[in-house]
Amino acid sequence: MKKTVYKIFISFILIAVTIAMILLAINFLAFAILGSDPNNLYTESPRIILDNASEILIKTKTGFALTDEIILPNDTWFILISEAGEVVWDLNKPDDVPLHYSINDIAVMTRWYLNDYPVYVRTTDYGLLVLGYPKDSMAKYSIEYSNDWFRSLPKNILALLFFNICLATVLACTFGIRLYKRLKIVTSGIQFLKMESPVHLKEKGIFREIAKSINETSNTIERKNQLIAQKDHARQNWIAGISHDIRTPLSMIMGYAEEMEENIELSGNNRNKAGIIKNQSLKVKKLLEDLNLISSLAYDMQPSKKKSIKICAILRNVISDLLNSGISDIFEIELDLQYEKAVIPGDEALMERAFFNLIHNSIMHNKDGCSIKITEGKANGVIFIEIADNGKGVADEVLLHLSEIPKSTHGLGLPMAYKIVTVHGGSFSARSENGFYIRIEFPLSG
Amino acid sequence: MVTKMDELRNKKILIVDDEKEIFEMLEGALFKEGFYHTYKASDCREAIRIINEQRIALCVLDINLPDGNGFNLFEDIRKITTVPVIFLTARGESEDKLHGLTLGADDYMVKPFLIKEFILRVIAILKRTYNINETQTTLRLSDRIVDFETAEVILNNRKIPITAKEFMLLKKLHENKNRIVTFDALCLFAWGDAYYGYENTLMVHIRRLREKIEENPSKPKHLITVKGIGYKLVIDNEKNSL
Repeated sequence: MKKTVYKIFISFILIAVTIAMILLAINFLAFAILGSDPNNLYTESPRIILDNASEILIKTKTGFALTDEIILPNDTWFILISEAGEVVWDLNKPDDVPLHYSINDIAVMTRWYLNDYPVYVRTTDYGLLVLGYPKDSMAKYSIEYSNDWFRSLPKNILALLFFNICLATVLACTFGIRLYKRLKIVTSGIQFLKMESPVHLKEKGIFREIAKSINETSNTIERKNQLIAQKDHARQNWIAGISHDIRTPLSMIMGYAEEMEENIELSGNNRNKAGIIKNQSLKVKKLLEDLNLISSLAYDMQPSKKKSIKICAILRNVISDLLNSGISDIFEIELDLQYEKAVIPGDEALMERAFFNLIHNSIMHNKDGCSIKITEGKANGVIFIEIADNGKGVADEVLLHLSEIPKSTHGLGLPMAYKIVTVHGGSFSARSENGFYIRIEFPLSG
Repeated sequence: MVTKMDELRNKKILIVDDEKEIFEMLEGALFKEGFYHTYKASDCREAIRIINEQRIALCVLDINLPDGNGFNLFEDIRKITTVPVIFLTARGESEDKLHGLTLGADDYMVKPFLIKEFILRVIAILKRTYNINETQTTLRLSDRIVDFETAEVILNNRKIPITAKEFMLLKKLHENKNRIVTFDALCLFAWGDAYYGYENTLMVHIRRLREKIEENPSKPKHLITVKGIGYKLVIDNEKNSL
């Protein structure tokens, strides 16, 4: 997620710099185009008018004249200045244009204006031909560059481009860093949402709406989880209540059945029946004992009691209990504990139950006997426990549904062990291969 | 002549349970076993009254009572007398069980229960509390005898003393005779909660114990090692039924 924000930030800067460069190029072209006056290009430019006029200007006996009609823009005029600085011919000359010019006047006029009239000049055989335009119709600027400037131009353009890229990057970063920060807050909010932990983002800036949505979603999730927890709690209490209430009547059923079973006044048949009632009651008792456990496991409840579980100790305990309960000689149990210090946090009674179920399972399902090998050790940062038998193995159907607590109490042992292991943060894998093989792994803690 | 068992059966037993039927059932079962003096209380107040009036030898307490709970009642009873107490309750959670036993109750039974088991526990507690001891204080192991009262092994009129730790281990193994006792259970019993790392010490003690109780300590016949799990005290019952 952090990487994503970083990527977004980087691509944002790249886009910003690219846009800046494109704009720079477009503006440069546009400036070049606009820089030249299209009026000058497409209508008669002063230079062309002057060229035309000089061609048709001839010297007559009385003075000078144009041999042909010339189409002039409005309010333009001509004067012809002789070598001596006298106006020797004119056309439409305004009155405020002088008739005599010094060399200084000429120099000023060629570059700038003549009495505020923008003028253009051309040399002819007869003198200087001056084309005048109305006042304020043209602006004249002169541009000068050194040769050095032209020589360093490519280098300068490159440097300028580079500078522009740098500046664009810096600006994009400066403006982007705020965006980046905001974005990071928003993404971390989404991250928290994913983990269903409460989120309270500040609702401001450009992501205000998104932050608001995230906060609202978080509140909704929290509310829903609370409802679910309440419901789970209520159900747990209900189950606990029911199992509690059944215990007393069942005590009586069991107690009297037991008494009747041994009552010699009853017929053998009836005593047998009483014995059956007693044995069935014992089964109900067993169910009652498991009821709370099963219901809490079915909903992935975390173990409420967290203590250090000594894996080796409980494995030894489970096996000694099994051996003490007098299992047949046809079962051979081998215990190989390699990592004595294996400790995980959790509920010891639950974990013992899980291992009991797994080993008992091998005994229950292999009536003809088998050997069971239990190996415990440490490898690659995990504590592992392997339980392998050389018996009949387990149906694929059972392996497929390991993670589901069955609706009935049949085949509860394996799923119960699976749940207990997984709620303790362990992994559980099982396969049927020359018998039944189970591997459980817990992360090494502390 | 009053036998020890008669003495035991003359003890007065108080049953505190608000369910009349449970009381009647227990009373009937105890009566059949020869316990004729059972008293009934259906709430805490009545229980305290009876305890003050009668010389009660054993209390059987339910936990859910109409005017309080059995744990509090237990503490009230302890202020009056040190009479042994069995909790008999529908509360089957292990926390409740631990709570009850931590308070100092002598036993904790969860309903439903087998009457036979209940009677056996009642008798065991009475025997233990009132020293009506039919169980042997000596143990014969092949050619020698272990005397639990003096903590000695007697061999050919020679007395070999047993150290305190060895005695504890032997007692624990004897309590679970012919059953495997794990290293963990033995260490826990001898050294308490933080027993980690005592495995080697345990081995040393067991070896010394074998030197005292075995004819041939390198080929033990009674104190057997169960590889990887624990130890077992093997006692041939025929020879020891004194």
